[in-house]
Amino acid sequence: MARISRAEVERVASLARLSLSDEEGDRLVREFESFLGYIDTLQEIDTAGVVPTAHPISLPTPTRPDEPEVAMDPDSAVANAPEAVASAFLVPKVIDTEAEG
Amino acid sequence: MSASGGEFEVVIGLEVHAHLRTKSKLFSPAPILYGAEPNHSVHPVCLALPGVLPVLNEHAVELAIRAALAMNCEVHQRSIFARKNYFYPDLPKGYQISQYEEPLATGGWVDIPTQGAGGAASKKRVRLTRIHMEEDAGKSIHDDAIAGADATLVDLNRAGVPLIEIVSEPDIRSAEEATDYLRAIRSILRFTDVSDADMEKGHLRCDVNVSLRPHGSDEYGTRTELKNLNSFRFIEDAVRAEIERQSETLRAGGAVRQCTLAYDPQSGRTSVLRIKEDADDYRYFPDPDLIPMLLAPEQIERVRSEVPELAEQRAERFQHEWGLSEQDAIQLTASPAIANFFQAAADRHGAPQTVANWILRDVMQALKELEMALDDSPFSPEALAQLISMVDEGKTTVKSARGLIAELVESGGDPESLIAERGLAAVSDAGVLERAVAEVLAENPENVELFHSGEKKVVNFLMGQVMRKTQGKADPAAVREILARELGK
Repeated sequence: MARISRAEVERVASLARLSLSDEEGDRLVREFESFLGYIDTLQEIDTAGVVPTAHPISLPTPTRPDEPEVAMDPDSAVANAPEAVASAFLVPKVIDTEAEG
Repeated sequence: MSASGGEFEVVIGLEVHAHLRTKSKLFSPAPILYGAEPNHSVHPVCLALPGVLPVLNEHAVELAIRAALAMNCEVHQRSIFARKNYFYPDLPKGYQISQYEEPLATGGWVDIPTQGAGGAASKKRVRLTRIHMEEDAGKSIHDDAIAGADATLVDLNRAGVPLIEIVSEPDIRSAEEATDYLRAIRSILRFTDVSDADMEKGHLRCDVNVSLRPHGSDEYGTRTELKNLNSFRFIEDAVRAEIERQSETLRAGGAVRQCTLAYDPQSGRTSVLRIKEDADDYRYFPDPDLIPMLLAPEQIERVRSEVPELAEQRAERFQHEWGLSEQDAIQLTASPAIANFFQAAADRHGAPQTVANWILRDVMQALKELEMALDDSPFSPEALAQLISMVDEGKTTVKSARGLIAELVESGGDPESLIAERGLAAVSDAGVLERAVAEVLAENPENVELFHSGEKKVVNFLMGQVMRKTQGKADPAAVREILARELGK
């Protein structure tokens, strides 16, 4: 039985803002199937009582003091942007009014 | 419009975002400058330029722990930064660094004022689900005049500013409770110096989840989310409008759809921004650029021992140690600025109730008329204490001193030299006062007669006449003494 459907692949693609041709979609379904086969092998390991790994490195948290540096030159900040107005990036109008915080 | 849901029980939970008061950003050394020109306080990390790596700001962690402890949370020794993935132009990395599965803190509570049985003042406890750390996004500016109708401006000054998100349990039952809760949060953040928590400046923002259910039901109804509310009034109005909208839908036999709503203050109505067909899918996963945050128990305990006194504790102290009324104590702890000012002035002067009266009456009124915040005023608590002492000692009169408050609040200065410069020193010269008293008695024979027939209260009228004759500069104690002597003859 297929572990991943074409619809799921398309949903993941749309969340990543990717548009897939039919051919690419078919190929990704096959590739996901093979990844999931690998995951199945990992699932066989008994992990009861094992703390989930969030990071492979175990170190004290590196931090820095709260000392501001001089901000970068605003002109160079927007230098690589396709378009800018004064020191602001100019992007195509966003239709979805949702903003996160 | 009713504040409660009528035949339905209102269920509200809040997600509050508060900027932490740091000098630099959460993961980059870019300075935090409010009101700067677009992209004038950025660093390659804020722009997500290739090859950059986030490094955690230790002071942001300290402030987040302090806030969590002040709100009675359990702070965890281990927490994980996660990537919250979504696409928006003001989020250059394509993800926000937040915390998901293992947040900084869980549990906790905030008390809000409420009316108990018989209308007595009481407290209601709002439980917290969690407090986690995250970075803010940049700002999209929709300005057709500058950007044209088809484009949006993006300013990344705010990108990476440290935030805590405080998530409440759905314990709130009305629009008023929602704003009371937010006020309580703001007070804690300010008294702990964690955040300026100024809604107008966007330091404090909140999303409100609202649902209705029949009274007595244990199940929650479908909730809607009100986003981007930026003033206490809008929150209260928006929640009321949404309660009304959902009530109408349910009364008509309809079903509330899960959605995100915006509130339009002009029309007073909520409108659907986005229908949530599926649950949000942010594909959270631990950020491989950041090692889990490990806090030593000693660090947490040190921060706990340093949590400053909150408004409530201070108000209680003002009542118990200094005998202030509950109402005065609450007003004097409305902000850390007022509480600190009062405390310093009362310590210096020695009579807290007298100082409280001057602050609550004259200083507050002057601030209101000048549209100033005490923080921005050069008036020092020492100067207030000195001014009041001069009144106590008869060196100036209450009237003269009150007349100086607005000026002191606006431009500061030394009360003693101001009183000398303006000729506001109290007149206590016996000759001058005796002359004034004699004139007043001569001008008001009928009152003198009334006094002798037993109407002792007319002495106050006569006092007033003497004060008027001396342009309010007479030392009242001296006048009273002379009047009593002259009338007793």
